[in-house]
Amino acid sequence: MKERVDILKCEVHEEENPYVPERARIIRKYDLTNDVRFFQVRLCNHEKVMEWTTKYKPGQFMMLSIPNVGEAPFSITSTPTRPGIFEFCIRKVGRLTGKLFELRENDFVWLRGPFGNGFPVEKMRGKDLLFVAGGLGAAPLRSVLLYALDYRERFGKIYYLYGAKNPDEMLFKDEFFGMKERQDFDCYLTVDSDPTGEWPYDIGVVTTLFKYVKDIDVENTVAVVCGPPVMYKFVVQEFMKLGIHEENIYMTLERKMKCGMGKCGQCVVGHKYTCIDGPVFTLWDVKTIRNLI
Amino acid sequence: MKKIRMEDFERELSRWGTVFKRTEEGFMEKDTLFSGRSRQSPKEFLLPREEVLFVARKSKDDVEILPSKPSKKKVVFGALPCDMKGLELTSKNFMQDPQDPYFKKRMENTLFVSEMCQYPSSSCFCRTFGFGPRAQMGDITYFKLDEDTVLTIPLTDKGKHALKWENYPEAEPQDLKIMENVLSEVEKKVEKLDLSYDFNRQREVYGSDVLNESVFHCINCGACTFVCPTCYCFDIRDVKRKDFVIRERVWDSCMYFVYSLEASGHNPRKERTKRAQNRFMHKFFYQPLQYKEYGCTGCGRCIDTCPAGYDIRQTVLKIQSFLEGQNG
Repeated sequence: MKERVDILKCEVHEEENPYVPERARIIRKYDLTNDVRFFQVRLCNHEKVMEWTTKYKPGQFMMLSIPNVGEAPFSITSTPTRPGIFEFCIRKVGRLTGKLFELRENDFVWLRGPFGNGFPVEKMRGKDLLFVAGGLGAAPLRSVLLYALDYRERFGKIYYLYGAKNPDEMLFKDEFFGMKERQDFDCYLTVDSDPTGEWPYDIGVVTTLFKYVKDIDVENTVAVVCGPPVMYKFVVQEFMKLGIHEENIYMTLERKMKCGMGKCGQCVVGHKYTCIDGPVFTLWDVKTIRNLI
Repeated sequence: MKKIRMEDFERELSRWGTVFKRTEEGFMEKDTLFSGRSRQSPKEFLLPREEVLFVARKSKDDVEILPSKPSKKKVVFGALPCDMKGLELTSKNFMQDPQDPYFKKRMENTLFVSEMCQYPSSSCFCRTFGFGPRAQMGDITYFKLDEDTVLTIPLTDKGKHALKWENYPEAEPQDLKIMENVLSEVEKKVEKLDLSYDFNRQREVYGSDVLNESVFHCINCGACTFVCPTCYCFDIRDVKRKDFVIRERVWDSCMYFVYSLEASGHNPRKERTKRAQNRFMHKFFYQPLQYKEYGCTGCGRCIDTCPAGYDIRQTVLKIQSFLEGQNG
């Protein structure tokens, strides 16, 4: 009891404090696969909604928390070109995500952010874009893909290659199936294996989709890859075969993070912090920093 | 420099805030000043072992979040140059954009009174890093002339306002001479390593056999990280109390397996020696690359504390000769 009085008696910070989260409401949720769920959230403070949801960059992440359970980083899967909400794809792996899966629509979560460098969307202007996603890697890539499609006229050719283990593991299936109908960019989907026998597209690992990549201007192409660590090596080899420059190959990496602002040291890799110098790195960074992948 | 009786000096300082003196263990509210380096550095005055970030309280269907603000005024009395250097390096991390509000508030609320060092030990090597026992650091610095008298000088505005300096006499020339003699004797006893390797060659070092071998006997207990004045890693956790929740940050250590363990099960530094190597690399390569300054102050606490007898000086010298060998 005494402790309680002491703590509540302490002075309260009035200035902006980056450790203090904003409350948000889950406005929509549904399962993408059997262990990945899609969450759409909106800040409760209506004055901040537009400011927060228009100023972030694709590829950035938020710290999402539930008091008494914990806090963890999640990449934003929505795009600032469609403001008002934040979207996340969350896989149930631990204590916090387990608790998140118990929440219902209209329940509260708390957000801090956005953090991280994000994709260099300005540098990508006028370039051909080649996105390669594997499994849950589609979550951060969807943000930059939707961004590029919403500003379609700013970019050259766009290729989106996405591979999942099997049809049930593919995220945003309906959305991506719909994209295959679009004429203004090329979307290719593949699964490693198809136990259902009903998969209409390619079968094989994601690198087999590179056969469809044609007529890109390699000098002016930005390639982005995100997926499980094992995938990077093979995808990067394909990029190199095409002749894309190291500094134009981007990948988003993750580490355990606690503060999101380069203070706590948790996500340090070499002399870089994943949370402020990343999570988006170029292949050149990866080659010069030991242990990044 | 002013000459002040220890008693008056302490009494005046206690008007600024609660005085925490150097003891054998750490900095505490004690009467006597310990003659030697304390086991724990004063970093906990800026980065406490546990710091409440905010309290979340449930009320009806709402949850109220009350961020805490450290407000007690404290005087850290008798911090040695290596302690002060450690705080300076730690501040670089917390005070760069975005500034850490808790750390900043604690800086404002703490008066650092440093002592010029007269306690060299076999594990000291501060002179390696461009300062030494005579370094004048903090808000006020003093030299202990004898048990009852100090020679002191304010270094910052905060220090100037903490005492009524005009009430005290100037130090006499013979006092300054004594100080000079004592400090040069002390300096002679402090080791100075001659480091001149290239930080940019970090890739050759991390994971190399020579570094691996050198840190091999580290048992990852984490003691060095807790006594180190420049180690600042922290974890953030939620603690449940009866009807509210505290989110606090607590010291963490990169020596632990769970430190870098991700929820997916992936762990970028799962090998024991990789974690020990990483800590060494951070102090002697990564921080110099980041801030153009070594991340070590040469206080020697890790050497005194290590249960496995690891001496970081040996490692850095081995690495230096390894890099020289690679050149030839």
